[in-house]
Order: sequence, then structure tokens, then C-alpha cells
Amino acid sequence: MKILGIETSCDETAAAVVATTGDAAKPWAVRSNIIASQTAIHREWGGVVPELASRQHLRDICGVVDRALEAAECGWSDIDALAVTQGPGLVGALLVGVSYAKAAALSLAKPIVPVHHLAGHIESIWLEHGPIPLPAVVLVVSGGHTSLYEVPALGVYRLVGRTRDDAAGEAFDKVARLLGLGYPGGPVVDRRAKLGNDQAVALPRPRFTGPSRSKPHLEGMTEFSFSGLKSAAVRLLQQRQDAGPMTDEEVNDFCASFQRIVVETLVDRTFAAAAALGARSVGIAGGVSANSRLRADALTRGVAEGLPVFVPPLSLSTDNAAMIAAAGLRRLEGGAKSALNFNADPALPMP
Amino acid sequence: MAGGAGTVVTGNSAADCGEYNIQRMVVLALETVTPAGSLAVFRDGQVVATLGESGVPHAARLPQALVAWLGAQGLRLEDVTHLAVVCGPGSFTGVRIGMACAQGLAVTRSWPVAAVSTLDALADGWRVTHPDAGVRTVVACLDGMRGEVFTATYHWDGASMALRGEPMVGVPSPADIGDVTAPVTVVGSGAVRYADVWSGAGWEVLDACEPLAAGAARLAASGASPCVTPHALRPVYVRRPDVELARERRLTQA
Repeated sequence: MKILGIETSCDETAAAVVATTGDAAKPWAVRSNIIASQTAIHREWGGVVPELASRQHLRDICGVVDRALEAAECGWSDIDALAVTQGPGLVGALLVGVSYAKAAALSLAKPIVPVHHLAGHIESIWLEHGPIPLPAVVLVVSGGHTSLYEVPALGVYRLVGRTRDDAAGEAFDKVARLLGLGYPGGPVVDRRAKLGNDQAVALPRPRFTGPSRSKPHLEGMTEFSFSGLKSAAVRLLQQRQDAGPMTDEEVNDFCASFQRIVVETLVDRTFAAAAALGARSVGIAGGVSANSRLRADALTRGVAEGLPVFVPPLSLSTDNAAMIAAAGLRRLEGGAKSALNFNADPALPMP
Repeated sequence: MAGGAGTVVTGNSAADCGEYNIQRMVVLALETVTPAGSLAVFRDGQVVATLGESGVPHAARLPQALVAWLGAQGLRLEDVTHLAVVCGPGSFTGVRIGMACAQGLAVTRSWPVAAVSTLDALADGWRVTHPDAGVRTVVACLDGMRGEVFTATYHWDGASMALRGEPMVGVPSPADIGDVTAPVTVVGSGAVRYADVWSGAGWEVLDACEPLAAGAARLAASGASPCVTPHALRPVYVRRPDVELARERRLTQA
């Protein structure tokens, strides 16, 4: 079976073809994975502007899908099903992909399944690695999300914790903006951090003072908060910048120190949740999983704790449609019925 | 968009419709720029159109409502030769839903698609429903929300319509319409909403004369709105994004 995935939830217009292989060790294969990034459009504004994103999706979607089919060496008649991101995301952006995909599916008389964006990120791990030991705990961390899911069985995603305020990726963007490093912040902070001293700047570790929203047996383990860290970073930077421009070395040190705190928080919480839930593996997905220190620290911690850690390759870490196709395949394999009467849902809950 | 309300038939003989191979054309037209939306089919020199149900989101009922309505006209997707889509101005989100739906249908069926201006469709609706009207200025006027209207001005010489200038967005004001030839008819949701403004200038005020998809189907069939590949479809927003307007204000004030 070949499935066409379409993703337009934020600022990437993406289409991909994923095929089933019949190989139990690696049941799915990416045939194509095309992404038209809008980063250059949003850079001027320091973040994604929903109206600009929606306009660009409409402009790009036909060409992106064409290229995905071409790269997979197939035509519309070779596609057996479609999957499209239904939400969460920017509603105007989602609507472009949903409207296009539903029309194409109806025209082709092929099944279509709506997909939760975060289910796509989780399934990117299975897409790359095949079956991983279950139950698993998966951290989904990006510019819009920081959430922990327990995956007790294939296609079952149980939310066990998430950020109370900002996503980790947002914090990276904010710090990068204050340092004058541009947008998006994650990749550039990662690069500069490699050149700096991660103990040079004293930043607070996120702590919780309010009531926990976690289940009692997970209290203190699965929630995240990055707004306090972000505010502390802003205060420190403003104080320092009042005294004059920062040197390159100071910027590198700040990036390294900030990144260390974020990564330690993410890794600590993820492994604490994995231990509490008796997980047999850990996954890390989403755009921030491309962060080199997060990857390295998670793998090191996994070795130390005897838990295998699975991370998708960079091409499947940021928003892409191969993961949406994979999540669509998972739903179809689980017996999901095709239906056309769904709409984009910017606050779609995980099924 | 499609679904419910009564069907409207507006006539045009094939002879009115230019040099296209019109006898064999079946044009399906889709409009989602208004809350209700509309659908139309042009065949055999006739347009059949329907308004949708404004309570149901366009994206939830498309494209299945479109196929159901087409079926009610005795047609299948296989019978359609051309697609027309109303490309704005209007609700930004509505524009994109219709155009993305049109693209999804057209790329999979290799249909040529015409992007028809909302204001052209409005003006054409007036034209076919007022065949005996004398020379005048016709202002197509769509409610643009935020206290603004989208307008385009046409000269009707008794036989044909000619667009004068470019579509505009702004507060409703007869003075901003430019040179007009009296009498003036202003037509559409923006005409009705700001009727006192227009009638204060002595202009005739009319609501839309037919579902917008009807005009889109006719203009596509006549070739007045040329067909392109779905990749080349471009919306006509007229109003720029808020962030760009805010940047412009900042630069002006600096």
C-alpha cells in the first residue's frame, strides 16, 4: 500500500509518500518526503504569522504534492490512501491541507484519514526504527509542543504530562531573538552552544509551586514549565546588554548554559516518567529533537539506565508529511474508517 | 456552499458566451467566499445554481456536498469538463478553502480551472438579471467586515461590461469610487449593509442578484475568466495581511 501524507499545520507545506514493505522488522518505508519551508517568510517577524503561512500553503501545495509523487516515482493512480493533518495547529494553515486532501481523495475515490499532528511526530519513531519495545515513553518537543506520551500498544497514545506554559522551542526562539541570532532560534542556539561553556551563566532550573496536574504516581515527573527560565534569561540578558554589546564568547556561553538547562529538564522528566511507568524504551520526537545536545544526552542517559532511546533522523524531526502518512497507515491498520465529513481542528485532542 | 436552498436558473444563450467550444462544456463552479457559499453548473448555455447553508462550515461539507448537488443535477464528476472557483476578495479563509478544494479536484482530474473574481461574478449577476438596463456605472460591492467594503467599478454600455480600474478595499464612500456615469447601481452585500451611504449619493442599491457561483460558471464558460492549471490558481485578497499594514504604519510614523 502507498499512502500520500499532507501536512500544513504551521509553516511547512509538506507532502510525502510512504509504502508498506511487508517486512515486520521495518514495515514502512519513506518513498518521498518533500518539505517547502516558510522560514524565510517568517524570519522578519520573529515567529510564524498565521495569515502569511496560510497564504503560502495555498501557493505551494500543488507543487509540493507533485514533487512528492514524482520523487516516489508514482502517479495519482498508484496512491491507495491519503492522510492529512487535521490538527492541532493554525486553523487557516490546516484548512488548506484538509480542503485539498479531501477533494483529492473524493476525486480519486480513495480512503482518507485525518491525523493528529503529534501522533505523526510519535509515529516518526516507528517509521524510522520499526517496532520498538513497548510500553514506550515518548517526548514530543517542538516550537509549539512539549508533551510526554505513554505508548502502551501500537497506535495508542496516552498523554502523561506537558508544559504548563511555553513549549521548549518557543524558549529557544525567544533567547535567540534577544541575542540577535535571528529566527528560528533552535538551530543557531545549538550551533553557538557547541562553542561555549555550559556552566558559565547561572540560570534557574524549572520548579513548580502550584498544584500538580499529573496523576499522583507521576507527580513532579511529567510536567514542564519554561516561562520562568525564559523570564530569567530575559532579565539576565537585559542587565548584561545594558552594559554594552556582548562578545561572541559571551553569546556562546549564554547559549550553552541555556541549552544545558532546557535539555537537562527534558531528559530528567522523560526518564523519570519512563521509570515510573515501567517503560521498556524511550522516544524523542519533534523539531527540538534535532538539537544535538538533547540527542546526545538522551542516548547517554539511556545507556546509563539500560533503556533504549529512539530518535528519528533530522529529516523526520521537524514538521514533515512522512510522519503524517505513517500515522495514517497506523490508523488504517487499526481499522479506522475513511470519512470526508471532518474539518480542521486547531485544538484537536489526541484520540 | 452547496447544500440546501433553492436552485436558481439564470439564462444565457450559447451565442452570448464567446468562442469557447461551449456546446460541449460542463463548467462546475464553486464559491466559498460568502458565509453560505454557492455552487453552479453551466451546460447547454444555461446556468443552474444553488446557495449553501450558512450554518455549516465550508470545509466540513466540501467536497461531498458538491458531488451530492452535482448528482442532483444528473451529473457526475466525470461529466465535468472545466472548473471555476471564486477566488476573492472575501473571507480570506473562505477563499482558501474553495481554492484548495478546487486544486485538489482539478489536479487529480486534469481539469482546467478558472479563477473568477468575486466582484466580476457579482457584476455579471446584475448583468444577466437586468438585460434591459441602460448605460450606467455598476459598482460591485462586497461587505469586507471591519467597516470596509471590497469594490470594483464597471461601465455598462447597454451591451457589455468593462472593468474600470482595480478592485479596492476601504470604508464605504461614493467619493472613493472615482469617475462614474450616472445612473449608478451598487450591488452586493456591501451595498445592502451600507445602503444609506450609497443611496445618500443617489445611487441605486441592490443585493446580489444570484448566487456568486452562477456568475463564475458563466464567466469561465465564456472565456472572460480564462482557465489555467490548478498550480497557477492565485487568490485575489485585495486586502493585505495585517502584519504588513502594521509595518507600513510603523515606517510611515518613523
